[in-house]
Amino acid sequence: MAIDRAKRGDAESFAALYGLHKRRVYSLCLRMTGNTAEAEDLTQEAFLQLYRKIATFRGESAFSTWLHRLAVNVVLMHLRKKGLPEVSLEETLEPQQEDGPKKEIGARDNVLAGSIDRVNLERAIESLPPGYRIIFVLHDIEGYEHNEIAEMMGCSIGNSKSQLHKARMKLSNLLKLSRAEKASRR
Amino acid sequence: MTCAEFQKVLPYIVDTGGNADEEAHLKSCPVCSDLVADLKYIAEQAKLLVPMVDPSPRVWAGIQSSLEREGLVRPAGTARFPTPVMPGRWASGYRLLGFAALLLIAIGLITYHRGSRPATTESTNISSPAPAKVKPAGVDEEDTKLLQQVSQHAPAMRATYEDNLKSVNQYIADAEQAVAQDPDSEEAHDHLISAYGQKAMLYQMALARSLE
Repeated sequence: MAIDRAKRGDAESFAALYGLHKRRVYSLCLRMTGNTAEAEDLTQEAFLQLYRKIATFRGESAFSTWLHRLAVNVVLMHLRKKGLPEVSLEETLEPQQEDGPKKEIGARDNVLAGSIDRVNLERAIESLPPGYRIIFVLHDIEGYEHNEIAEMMGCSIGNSKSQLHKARMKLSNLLKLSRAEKASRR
Repeated sequence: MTCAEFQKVLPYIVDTGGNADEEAHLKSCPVCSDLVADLKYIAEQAKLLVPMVDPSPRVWAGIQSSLEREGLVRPAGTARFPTPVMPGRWASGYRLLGFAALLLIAIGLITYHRGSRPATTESTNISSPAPAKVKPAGVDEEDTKLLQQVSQHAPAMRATYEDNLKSVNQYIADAEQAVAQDPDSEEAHDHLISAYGQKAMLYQMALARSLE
């Protein structure tokens, strides 16, 4: 109902939609950019685009899915203008020894299971290089499939899988490092 | 199959499973099975990262002014939307104290407001079935009072407030745990301040609704 009223330009209904969806859109922007000021600007831009484009929403998908995709496109467009994804894509295509699998991690007491909390994970994601972070956020947090990410990012499905793997490897290393640092302080 | 061969194809099979050779290596190799377990664990934990942070009220103010500037909405038709302005850049400790004080004031006002309800409302309630006293999981006693207030003034919003309170309480618990684990971490303290700030904001919004 609020969507139909917002489509007719009803400001109260638009405010209600903002109230319902602002947290998810802002979190997406914040996680993808890792920057509060940019995330606020992009959230604002996403909702302004929503206001301008809501009349084109045909209900073929859930409204939240449609809005979410709109917000992702706003962020990706912004990042493209900044030139970040291209640089990061190239960077992450290069094999990096530090992110590669490490065979010595096989010791059973060195597995991560049960040791991650939300704050540590958020912090580790924030410190990922932008190219890794974007793919990780889109796939593992937001639930996009590799074919959708490939389409949005303009890369191959294989590239999306490869970057996601590197992002998870990097996170694994960061989380283990953080755990070891904490243990050494005790 | 060697570990190097397995790990070379891992990005493409980790979420979907591999062929017979790859699965056999995974079963027999503790190094690779631990690696896969770690990667899957990270992916599982990431799925649990629900959005926790609200944008600053500045965002809504910016949207409103842009729409007004473009003539898409009239200034007089400003939509009512409770977006309390949060304090600026206080020192961390003062901010935390401020949020705690705000929370206490909000709780106090709600309690006072409940106590000063007209007698007619009370008498109406006598003939009604006694409201369930069951405290919803994930909220404390003060939260339950707040939810009762919301139920009286805006029944449709109760579920939303309850979900938000549960989320913010979980966020506070996580942040407290992070601070306990790493008392010197400025970031952990910031998370805790942000969590308390969000709870104070929820109380403020509910209070604004109940005083309307």
